[in-house]
Amino acid sequence: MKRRHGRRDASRSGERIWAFNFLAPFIVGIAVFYYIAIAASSYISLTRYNLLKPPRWLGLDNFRFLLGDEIFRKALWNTAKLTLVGVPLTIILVVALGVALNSKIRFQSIYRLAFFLPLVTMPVGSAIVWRWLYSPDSGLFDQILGPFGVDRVEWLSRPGTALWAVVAMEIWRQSGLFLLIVLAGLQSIPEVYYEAAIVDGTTPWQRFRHVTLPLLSPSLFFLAVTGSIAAFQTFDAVIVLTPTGGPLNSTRTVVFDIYQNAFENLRMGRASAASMLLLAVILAVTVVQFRLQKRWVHYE
Amino acid sequence: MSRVQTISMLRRFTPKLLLHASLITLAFIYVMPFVWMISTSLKGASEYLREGLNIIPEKIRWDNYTEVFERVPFARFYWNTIVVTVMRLVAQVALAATAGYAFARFRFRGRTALFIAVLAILMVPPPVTLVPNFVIIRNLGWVNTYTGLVVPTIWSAFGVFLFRQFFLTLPQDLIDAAKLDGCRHWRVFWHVGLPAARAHIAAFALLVALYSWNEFLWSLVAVTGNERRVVSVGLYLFTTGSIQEWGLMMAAATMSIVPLLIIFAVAQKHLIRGITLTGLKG
Repeated sequence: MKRRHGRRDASRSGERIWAFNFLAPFIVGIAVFYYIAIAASSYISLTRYNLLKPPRWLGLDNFRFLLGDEIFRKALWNTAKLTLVGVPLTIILVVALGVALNSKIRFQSIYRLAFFLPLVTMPVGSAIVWRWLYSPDSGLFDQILGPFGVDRVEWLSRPGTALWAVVAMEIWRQSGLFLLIVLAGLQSIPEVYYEAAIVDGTTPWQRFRHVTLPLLSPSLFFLAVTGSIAAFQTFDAVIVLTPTGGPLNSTRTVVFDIYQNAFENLRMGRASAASMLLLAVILAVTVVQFRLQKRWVHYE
Repeated sequence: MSRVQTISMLRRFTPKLLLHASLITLAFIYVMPFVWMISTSLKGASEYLREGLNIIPEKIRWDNYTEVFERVPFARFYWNTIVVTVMRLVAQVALAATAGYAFARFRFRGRTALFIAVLAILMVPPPVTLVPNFVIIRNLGWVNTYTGLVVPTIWSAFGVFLFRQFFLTLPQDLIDAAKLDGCRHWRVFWHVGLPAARAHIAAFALLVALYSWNEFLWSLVAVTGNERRVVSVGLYLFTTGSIQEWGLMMAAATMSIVPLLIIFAVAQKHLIRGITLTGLKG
């Protein structure tokens, strides 16, 4: 009895050592590149730091500056607009697409392929192509709209259109990813629910509203959360489509602001403060979404 | 055919036809940027600046492609991207699989707390750690190195989660049998765990490749010279010139997406499975 006890302890301590061996590299990595990094960033955010001279203590000045700064507030607002419009539109589009593609129609795989293409394309590459499509006169959009009496729209140099031009491209780029999740969600809905609903004499719309949507809601919730987090980080599209942050800063996003402050103006303190605010906003939005999920997400 | 029959035929097929018509239109919109990209890449400036919607160029010219290599060390960028992608792939799979295995298969104090600390980083998007990580690699002397490009970007909490979930499903009998054969933990992991996880490794590796090939922001700041520059940044630099040479840019863009298109064509199933896995557990 005693011996067995001893042996189990030995194997336990062996397990501990092995757990340490297996975990140490990863834990050290996230400790340095996440936990220490965020601690460092919170410190830098309270200083003036240009990489060349040691940081100088400023207290909350960077935060005060950013929150009062017209340009940064614009960046926050643009990011919010981009998220609040882009994510819901993408979700609506892919739900419609998903239902259509899931209905056993022909050529399904060919259609799918078309929607998945942007997914594997590098964002910078897509953005360059879209910049060309948006370019005035010889760009594809102007040429297509020309015969309809719309002439020469400078999509990317007008404050009223530039941000929506970015949103349109982002919807095109992201919908393949969203569609995959929706299709997986649709395929996991048991066929018997639909059969039962048909026996009850329901219309297709009623079946969509009362069977498909509720059972798809966990996937949609996942898309809303991850899609918002991704939209809050919009950068590649903006810097390629509108290198200066758009006319009147109309496409400047928070990450664009962070990049410009840190790596063009060497204001590491201000950029760190903006990063901390971005993290706070993302956490807040995620918490709110999780709170709201009880109202509309159905788990079986 | 009587009129009644015709009408009933129409009733039956019209919705289908409408559905196909809208799907074809939408699919066409989705593919059009690619078609236009390739078309422009094969045209000379005099042709692509002239208005006209001809997709097939009057005369197909490959000059834009060769010129990309003359203007910038594009081959170098390509090579760097391949090296960085392979490094990230190996590192990410190794790190995530070992950590995931430990969380699933070993009992030790603090396991839950540590696992929560790992999952917590899921909520920290890369731009948030951009500045401090740059300061870190600068202090380590890693700016303009492969190490600097790779090391800060290989910590995937999602990967750990994915492998943990998989290794939890590994039957204990399988592990006990290996242990009876005298395997220590490492060899159980190597000879039993990893081979069983083949499908997960493939799916995860493809996700890493997709991320790595397309990654832009970190590569933009971690490298300042052509020596270690990657394709995404090289492509971006084409847009910063004062003249927009669309033919050249479209040729470079085409070349930058071809490798992933090939991988996608070959391994579509694995890639789709990998992406779907990300959505399964929220």
